[in-house]
Amino acid sequence: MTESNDMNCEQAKSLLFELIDGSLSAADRDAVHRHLDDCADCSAAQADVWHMQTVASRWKTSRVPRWNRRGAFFESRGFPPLLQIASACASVVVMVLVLAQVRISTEDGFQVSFGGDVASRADLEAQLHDLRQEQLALINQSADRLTNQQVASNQLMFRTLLEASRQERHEDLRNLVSLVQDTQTKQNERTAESLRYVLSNQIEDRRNIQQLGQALKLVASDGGTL
Amino acid sequence: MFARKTDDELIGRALDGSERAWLTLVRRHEQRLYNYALRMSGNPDDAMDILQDVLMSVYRNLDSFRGDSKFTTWLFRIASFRCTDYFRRRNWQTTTLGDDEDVPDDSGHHEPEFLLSQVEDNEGIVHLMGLLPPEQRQVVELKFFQHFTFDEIAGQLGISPNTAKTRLYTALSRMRAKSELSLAS
Ligand SMILES: [Zn+2]
Repeated sequence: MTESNDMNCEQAKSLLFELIDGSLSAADRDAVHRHLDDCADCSAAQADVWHMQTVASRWKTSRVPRWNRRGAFFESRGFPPLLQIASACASVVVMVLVLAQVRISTEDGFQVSFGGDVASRADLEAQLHDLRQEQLALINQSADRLTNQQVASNQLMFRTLLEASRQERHEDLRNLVSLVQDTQTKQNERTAESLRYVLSNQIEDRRNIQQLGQALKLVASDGGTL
Repeated sequence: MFARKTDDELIGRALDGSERAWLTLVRRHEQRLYNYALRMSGNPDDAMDILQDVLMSVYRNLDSFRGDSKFTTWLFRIASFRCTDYFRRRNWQTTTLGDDEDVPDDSGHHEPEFLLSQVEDNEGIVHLMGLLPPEQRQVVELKFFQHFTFDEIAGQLGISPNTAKTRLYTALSRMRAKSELSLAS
């Protein structure tokens, strides 16, 4: 950009900030000025930049509200994670139900035919995948809800917690898939059904974890059918 | 003793496990970041949320900071990512609630005699920024409040310097049009 008389709009606009803060060479400054004299659009842009700089300089720095920095970064690991405990309990319940191949009847008539072949395994995996997606969405939603309720400085901790819980659940689901694959013979149909019931209930409402705990006690006492 | 260390020195210490070094770094930059988030989000609660979110992300990715740019340049690159994510989630929520996301939620406060040159306080500035779609707001923020160069802004937003410039001037004329429009009515 030197002493060219016909600087175009793009060139002029790219030098407006330098023009305003006075860091242009004399030649460039003159060239930009010549362009601005003839170009209403670029003069308007120059005025906009100048106005906006004035407006920006009026911002009064706000103080950061008090927050627990150390807790947010370092102490959350030691926090008794309610959700993690609940999550672990739920996983145990699921595991036991699957291992015991407990039959839980539902009214919505869910049916899959598992003959123990490869296709049925894929089917089950697809279901588990869907459930996992659903669950992730729900976990994200509750994270957003928590955010909106602005649980003060605990938000971050909760996010971390939910993240941990989510990862843990991933792990559980992976384990379940291999577990189900290993026990895929006669009882596959019932296993899949109870697995679906338990997982979807767990997803729909974490309070169902308690009900599942009770269900588990029943299972233990009368050995198989709910 | 940590107060006089440079950002790079503090990052080195933090990576070696010094909690105090990291917290010194947080205290040093949180105010700038918080004010950025205030202007971007428009309210203190979301600003605090964004601040913590960005700092957590920075903390987790600290070992990927190469030191070939200034720490603040990198910091605001992460802030831009997180802010984009924030707006994405917010839009998604608005959509699920069935609201029209094109309607600015602050339209009710719109002063008829609103004019760019009359914006004098933080509230006015937040309102002004709220007139812009998020991607234009980001460029205005990074240029006028953070004073980054167009090259730096381009790197932070993953766009070309020319796109950054175009976006900035579009934003400015949009603000002018909005304010003049309301003056005329
Ligand atoms: Zn021009």
